[in-house]
Amino acid sequence: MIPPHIFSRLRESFKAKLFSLFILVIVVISFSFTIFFVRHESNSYQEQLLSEGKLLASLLAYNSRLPVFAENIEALQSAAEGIIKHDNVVSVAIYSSGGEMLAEVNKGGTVRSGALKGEDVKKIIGADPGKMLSPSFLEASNDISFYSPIISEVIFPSTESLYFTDKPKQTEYRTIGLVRVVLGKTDLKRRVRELLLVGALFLAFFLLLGIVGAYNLLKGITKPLNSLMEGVRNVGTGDLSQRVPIETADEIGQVALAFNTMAETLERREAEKAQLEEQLRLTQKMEAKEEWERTFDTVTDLVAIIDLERRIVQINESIADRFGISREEAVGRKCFEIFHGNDMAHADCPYRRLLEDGREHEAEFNETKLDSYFWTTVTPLRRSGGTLTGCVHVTRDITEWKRAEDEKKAIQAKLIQTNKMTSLGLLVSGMAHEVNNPNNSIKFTAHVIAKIWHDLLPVLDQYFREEGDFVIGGQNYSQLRESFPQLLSGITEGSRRIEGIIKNLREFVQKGKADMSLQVDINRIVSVSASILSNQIKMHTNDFKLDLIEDVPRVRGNSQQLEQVVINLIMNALQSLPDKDKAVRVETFFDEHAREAVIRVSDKGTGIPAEVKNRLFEPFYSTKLESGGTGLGLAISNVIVKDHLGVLEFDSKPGMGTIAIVRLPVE
Amino acid sequence: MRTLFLTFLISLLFTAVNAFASDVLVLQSLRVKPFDDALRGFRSLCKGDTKTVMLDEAAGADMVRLVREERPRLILAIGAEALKSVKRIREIPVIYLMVLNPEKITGNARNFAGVDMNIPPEKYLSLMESLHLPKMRVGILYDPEQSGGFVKKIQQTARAKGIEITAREVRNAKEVPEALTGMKGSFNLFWMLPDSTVVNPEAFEFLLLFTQQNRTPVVTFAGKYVDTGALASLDIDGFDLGKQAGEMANRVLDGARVSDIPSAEARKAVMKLNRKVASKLGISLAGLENF
Repeated sequence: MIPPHIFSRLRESFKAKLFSLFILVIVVISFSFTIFFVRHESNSYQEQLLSEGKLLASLLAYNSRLPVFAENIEALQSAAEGIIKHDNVVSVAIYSSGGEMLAEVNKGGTVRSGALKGEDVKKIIGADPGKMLSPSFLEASNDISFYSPIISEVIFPSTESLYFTDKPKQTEYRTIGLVRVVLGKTDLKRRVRELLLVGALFLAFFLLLGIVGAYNLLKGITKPLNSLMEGVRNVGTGDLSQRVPIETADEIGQVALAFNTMAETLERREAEKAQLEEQLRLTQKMEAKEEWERTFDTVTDLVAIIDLERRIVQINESIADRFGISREEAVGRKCFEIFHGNDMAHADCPYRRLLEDGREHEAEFNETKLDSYFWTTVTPLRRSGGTLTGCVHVTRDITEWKRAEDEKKAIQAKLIQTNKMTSLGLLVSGMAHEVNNPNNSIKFTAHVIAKIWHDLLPVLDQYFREEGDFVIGGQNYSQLRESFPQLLSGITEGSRRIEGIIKNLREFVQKGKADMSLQVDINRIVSVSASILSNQIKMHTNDFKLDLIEDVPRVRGNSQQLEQVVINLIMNALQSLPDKDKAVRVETFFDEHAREAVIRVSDKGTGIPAEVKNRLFEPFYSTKLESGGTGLGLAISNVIVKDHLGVLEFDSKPGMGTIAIVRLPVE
Repeated sequence: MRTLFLTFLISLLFTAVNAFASDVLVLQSLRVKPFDDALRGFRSLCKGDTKTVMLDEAAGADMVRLVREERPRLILAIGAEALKSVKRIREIPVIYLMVLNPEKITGNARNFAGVDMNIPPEKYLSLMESLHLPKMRVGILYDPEQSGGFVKKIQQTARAKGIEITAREVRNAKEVPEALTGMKGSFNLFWMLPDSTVVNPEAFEFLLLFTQQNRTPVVTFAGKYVDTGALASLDIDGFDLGKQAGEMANRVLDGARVSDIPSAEARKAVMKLNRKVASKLGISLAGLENF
């Protein structure tokens, strides 16, 4: 039993199909041929038998003509015996036209049961003697009976025609007897059997020959097809180097040739394609690299790739520019050398922390050398497996941001100040009025007292002269006489100052109200201020010097306000001095380059502590609150300078003194 | 209907011809070459004009009536059938030709005369003699009804010539083989007579086979048998027979009574030899060179 999958495989096989077709054709041809052969031969034997029978019957009929005519039984018997000798003849009989049996011979001496009777003979000859001129036969299962009439030409119609060569028209024929020759079919059957056997043998032989031949032929035909198929399959799986051997010059050979050409072309194309792809890949790689590098370089942040040994692997253009170092120079060097100019890692180095915990870290640096602030982020760089190979070191210059931040803070401070000022304004507005009234009263009283003093003085002098020195208010008149006007003047000055402060406070609160239209001489302002403060100067230092350059151009502004500023600065300088030996200098000069008139107040005082430095201009912030400071001096001064479109700057180092500079633009 | 029409046509023809009635009305049995030759021979000598009717072509016509309407001075009947058709006519002289045994048809009627078809026995015997067969004995088979007269003549002539004749009568063709077998050894030359009983196809075949088996030469009366195996023949000459009849006709037309004119024998014979048979039988034909 053949498994069904073999059938299905055979059904799909071209070779099997072709083979089946061949076999089918061979079988059909062989069968047809054999059948044709057997039939033909069988018919041929039959025909042969029939023609033999007819011939023998005709012959016997012809030979019996004279004996029948002469009714010579012996001659007939001898003629019949002559015929019976033939192989297939089994029975011979000769009858007269009247149905009388004249002679009969049977093979093997047996008398045939089927002998004809007189009526039968007459029936065979027919009603019209002379009509049955040709032999006939009657086929039975085992034999064939052939009948041939014994024909005689009829007597000449006229005696004269005996002479004539021409055949008389009225020649007639007469049946004078009947011959019956029976041919047995045994031989025919035997020969047909033999024929069938031979046919079957031939059929088997041809089938075998056909199968073997077809198999070999197909093998021959399909061999190049198989190798072609193998080649196609190999090419299909991608082996383009595959070539099919060309074994024949037929269609398959041509297909193989075409296939080889195709495979060659494919291979060439594939190679070209691979080459192009490689080129493309390289180009892409190059492009990607270039793009990466370009991107890497485009990044304004300072980007570096650093290995585990803190060596620079790669830096971008920004770093190269910023640190003035070429890429080649940077690669391989330690990161801290490049970034910090140190020979060891920075104390706040975020990479150190990354190396410890493998996480991203950030840190801010103030590189004083570069006068910049940096924000550095280090991100771990790992292989695909996760192994740490280094870090991406991204540093951003945040200086600008910082400044902006500071400005932001300043704005915020200003906002706060504005807020404070608004409150202050409200306060001052209320207070100014409250202060002015007693102040006016003081001023008026001082004036009255001065007038009184003036009027009283001759009296007192008189008394002094008369009475000698005397004590008034714990003081000797002689001293008082000298100091009283000064005291009065102090009251008046104080009152005037209160009045001025109130006015200034009012102006501070109600900015813009001061008259800024006048051209003022800063030297004069400084001089007035110094003279106003002469007492204070004397109290604080023995080394006070004004260093005023004569040709300082005038500036547009309000002298009173500017005086206030200068007084404020000098007062601060004086108050910072630890002892009277420390110097205070007030200079004026013209910065031609900046077109600015500059007032510089420098002292050798205690300097401004760092924490104070940022709050210098903050209103009501004072380090001298306990000693009567209002915290308004520098705040107001700064506002005034700014109102004059100028700049108020401080340069101070703790313990080294402070330099305050007022820069005022010159028109 | 067709026959009636034909009769009408013929009667019309002869009615028209009546005014110019021919001297001789020729009735010919068949259109065969010997008969045509005979007619040609007749015409070559006959003075009178002739009118010919082919019997086989005018089948069914009443010849007696035709003759009576035609009223020829003479009738020439060529062939037995032609003679038979006019055998009742008595008033017109009839000359016959190519008839084997005319007296059987004419009986004793006196208005008939003609040329016998048989070659005179002398000529045959002379031919046989010229073969120079040793101890020649001639065998003959005959139907006395047909050839009795001729055989008598033969026997008379042979007797005169001293030739031994063995003649055997047969009444039926079937008797031929037996008769012939019975005659075996009594002759060394067979004379085949124009006897339709004997010259039957089967009988002739048997005869030929028999004579060949016994190496017996056959002398016959017609050339066609020489072609099929006989040694020699003495054939009639149709043209010459015609001429003989023509002579007779001239005499009749000249006023002679036909009853006065005796029937004539064929005066000319044509010999035909089969040299192959002769050489096979070892017979010299030298004696016939000047025959």
